[in-house]
Amino acid sequence: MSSKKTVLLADDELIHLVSYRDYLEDAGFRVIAVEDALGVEKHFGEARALVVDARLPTARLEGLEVVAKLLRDGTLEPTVAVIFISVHSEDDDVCQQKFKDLFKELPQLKGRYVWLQKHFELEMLLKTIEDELARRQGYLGPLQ
Amino acid sequence: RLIPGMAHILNSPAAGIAAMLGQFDNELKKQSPNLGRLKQYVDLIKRNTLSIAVMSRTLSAEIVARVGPQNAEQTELIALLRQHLDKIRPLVPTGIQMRLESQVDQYYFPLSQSERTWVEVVMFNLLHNALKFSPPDNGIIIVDCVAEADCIHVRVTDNGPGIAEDALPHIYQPLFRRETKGWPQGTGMGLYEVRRLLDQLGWDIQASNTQPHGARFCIRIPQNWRHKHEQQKDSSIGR
Repeated sequence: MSSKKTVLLADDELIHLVSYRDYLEDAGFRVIAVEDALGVEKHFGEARALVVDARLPTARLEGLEVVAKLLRDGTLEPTVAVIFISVHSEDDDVCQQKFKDLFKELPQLKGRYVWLQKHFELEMLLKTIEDELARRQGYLGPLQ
Repeated sequence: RLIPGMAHILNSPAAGIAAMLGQFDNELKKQSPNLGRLKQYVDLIKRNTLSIAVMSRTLSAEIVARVGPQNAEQTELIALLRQHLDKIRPLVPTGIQMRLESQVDQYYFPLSQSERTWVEVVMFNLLHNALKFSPPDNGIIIVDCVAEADCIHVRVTDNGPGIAEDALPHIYQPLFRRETKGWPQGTGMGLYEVRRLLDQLGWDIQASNTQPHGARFCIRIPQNWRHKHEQQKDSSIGR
């Protein structure tokens, strides 16, 4: 088992996947890069942080929904950081409707993640992962 | 259907290029930059720049179509296709060849400014599609023209995985995405737009698979298409 912290990175756009993967590997992380929700379901157990495109299209689940599914199943450890990335704002209509339904069913999703809207600086991704890992290590509870 | 998806379709490759350039810069700052990585970054930047070019032209076609009736001018088809290929060529990844192989030297037909823009959007979308599904290290895309007694065919052929037989009837539906394992997914709008613009022109398109593997899109331009198309439009208005 590698001593490096593992990030599971999921994005269906290769250009995003490659730039984030190479940057995080250069920063010292082990990165598992996947292009769909099936990859998230397969590898989430190996990762300290999930960086998932919220609108990841697949035949079955979007990125947001696959994380909700892990929470619903009780398989996502509270120490695992969750970062959603998307070209959409967290406040746009489609996301708001999705969150409204998900929060009703899964109140524990609230405050369980950080949202980064593309485009962000690569340094911002690194800082967010490190901050979330630090916060999750002591499990301080959901963000207020 | 087109406009609401436009922001996402344009923003995603733009954000991807910005991230890739950031990482490109980081790689260049290293004492020994990894050339394999840099090559991959350039290819990804080209592919995503082409996505933006296709979408911006599609948007132009929407705007030009609203300008109203225009005079048609004699246009030479082979030169027009060569122009479109030359515009795309700088954005073709290094492992992929793209060439024009016409059996026809010249073919003149009347096109208005809107129609020339539509033909450009059709060709950009078909070539973008062919590039997306071409093997990155030995892709070959051939555009050729074949004349028959009553029509001329413009064909775009790639040597990618081809199209699943059960997907063939659905590829022009909006938001339909070819799911081919190991290959990127499209936006589901490109071929829909191709079909829509060709319908407006009164031209036909057929997709098929080639041997040993690959996809071919064949546009059929009937002789005297403008005359027949305008007669059809007139008779449907008069009904």
